[in-house]
Amino acid sequence: MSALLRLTISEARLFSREPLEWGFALVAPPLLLVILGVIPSFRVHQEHLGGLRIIDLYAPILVALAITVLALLTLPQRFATYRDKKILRRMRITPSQTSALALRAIDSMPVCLLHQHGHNPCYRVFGLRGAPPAKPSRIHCLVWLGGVDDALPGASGSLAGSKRAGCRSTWDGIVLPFTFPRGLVDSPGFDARWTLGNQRLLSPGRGHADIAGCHGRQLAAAAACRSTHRLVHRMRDACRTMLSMGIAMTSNFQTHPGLAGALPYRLTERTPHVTKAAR
Amino acid sequence: MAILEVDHLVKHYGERAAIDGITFTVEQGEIFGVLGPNGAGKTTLVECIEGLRAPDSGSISVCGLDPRRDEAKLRQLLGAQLQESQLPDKLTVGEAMRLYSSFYRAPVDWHELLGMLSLTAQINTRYHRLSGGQKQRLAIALALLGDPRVAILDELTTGLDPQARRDSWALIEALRDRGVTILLVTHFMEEAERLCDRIAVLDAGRIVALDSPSGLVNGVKHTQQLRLRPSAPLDPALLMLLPEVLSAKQSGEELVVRGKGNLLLAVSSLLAREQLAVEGLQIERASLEDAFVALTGHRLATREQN
Repeated sequence: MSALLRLTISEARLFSREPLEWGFALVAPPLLLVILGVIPSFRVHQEHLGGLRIIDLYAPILVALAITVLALLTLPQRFATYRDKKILRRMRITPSQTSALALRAIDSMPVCLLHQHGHNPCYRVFGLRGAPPAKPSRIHCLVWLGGVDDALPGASGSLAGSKRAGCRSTWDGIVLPFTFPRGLVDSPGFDARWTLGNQRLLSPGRGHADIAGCHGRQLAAAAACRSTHRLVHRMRDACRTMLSMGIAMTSNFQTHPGLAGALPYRLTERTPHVTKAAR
Repeated sequence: MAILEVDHLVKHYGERAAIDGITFTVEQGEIFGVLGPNGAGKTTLVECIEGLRAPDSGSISVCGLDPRRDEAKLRQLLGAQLQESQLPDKLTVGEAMRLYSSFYRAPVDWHELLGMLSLTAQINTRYHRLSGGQKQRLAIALALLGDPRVAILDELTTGLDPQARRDSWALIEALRDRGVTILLVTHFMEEAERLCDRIAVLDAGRIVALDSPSGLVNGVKHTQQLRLRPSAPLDPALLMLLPEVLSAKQSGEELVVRGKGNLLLAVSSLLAREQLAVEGLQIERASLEDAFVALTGHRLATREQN
């Protein structure tokens, strides 16, 4: 396990040396929240939002943004670079059983960092209702387990070469959506906030961010794997997620009479993806 | 028992055979050179030995292990330096060494290793700030971290300046003295001639010759070449009568005589019979490069990389 630890430390260090990466993922969203929160009208409780304020709506959106940046931009790019520079290959000629395991630490590391968003003071400045998780340790374990669960197939697959990668990626596809999101279920109670009477709002919050995260990491694994076929599939999945996030956001507006008018069109149906995520 | 055995190895990329039936063995403690023009199959061969590629047919055994089946065990025994492999730009030398040594069960002391490769001063330098030679030495250090029994060095000294190249050679010799078996892939003749105990010359996926460097050189027909300036003109046809002489021709004032065996004695006794003195004499022995050209029919690096 010391290899896993060592690689996590090393990757965390590399992450800290890329100001653009952590800037966009960890600094920009809270900053945006602060800027938006400065607008006085955003801090007024709105009757038609079920007593919420507009700033309350922004918190999950920004967390989703942060996760998306990491998952869809930073990670795939990093893995692609590692592949391109033959870093993965060099790791493979070392006793790689551990390094396969270790690579997924790279993977779950930013997620853990992101999780800190829940504890980020910026999110409390405006008295956001989502309470920080009651038991951070448990949640972190879950996130880690989730990360371990879903990063294993991708990373070890990409290290091991085609055949195993194929099998594992299938497994990945089945298991992943169930394991990882669970890690964030208990994070800053997005769900509680999104209930309006009996109607639950579709927020681009937890579910979508998690799924985007998963797809992002699959994308990363595919990029590492040199499999064009897989890459195309993951790209498609990721786009689908983005789309459903978009739909969720717009339909969110739609549920509010006050905001619906702002949309140039009406949505008539919801994709199953969206409904599931909002469950 | 041989530490590395390759038996009738075949590997195709699509229709083209990258390796077309290669067989050889390497003994413990040997420095075995793999020499060949670009595209001869050198890198494919070492990748099969490293277990990174599955051969189409044939078998490989490294320390009695099959690189594909016993991969986990082999990784502890085999150290490899890959062609063109890099590290993350912002990782420092020390961090890289610490990270990679954590992968092995019994790593060597990496501080000592860096000292041997004179990289100690660069310990806090980021990878992208290293010079080409330092990167290459770091790659060697990473290959040796696990205290391997077999080290595979692919294009080891490409991109190194002459001094750094000689330093690396000294290091390889030091390794051999410690009993490490080394498979050296190279296209530098000088390097192969100086270091290798035996050399396999690869061309188009086949071994065209396997011998010691001097054996390879002696196997070439035009072993020696004399350039001499006789005191009076001499008919090259007279020289051609000698059994040792393969060719003789006039080149300006000089006679260029190529031949084998005891060429010098034969030529000088002929000159004595003709009562001619020699005003200038130059003996050129064939180099490994000549041997190589004779074996593969073309010079090194004249073929395009595929």
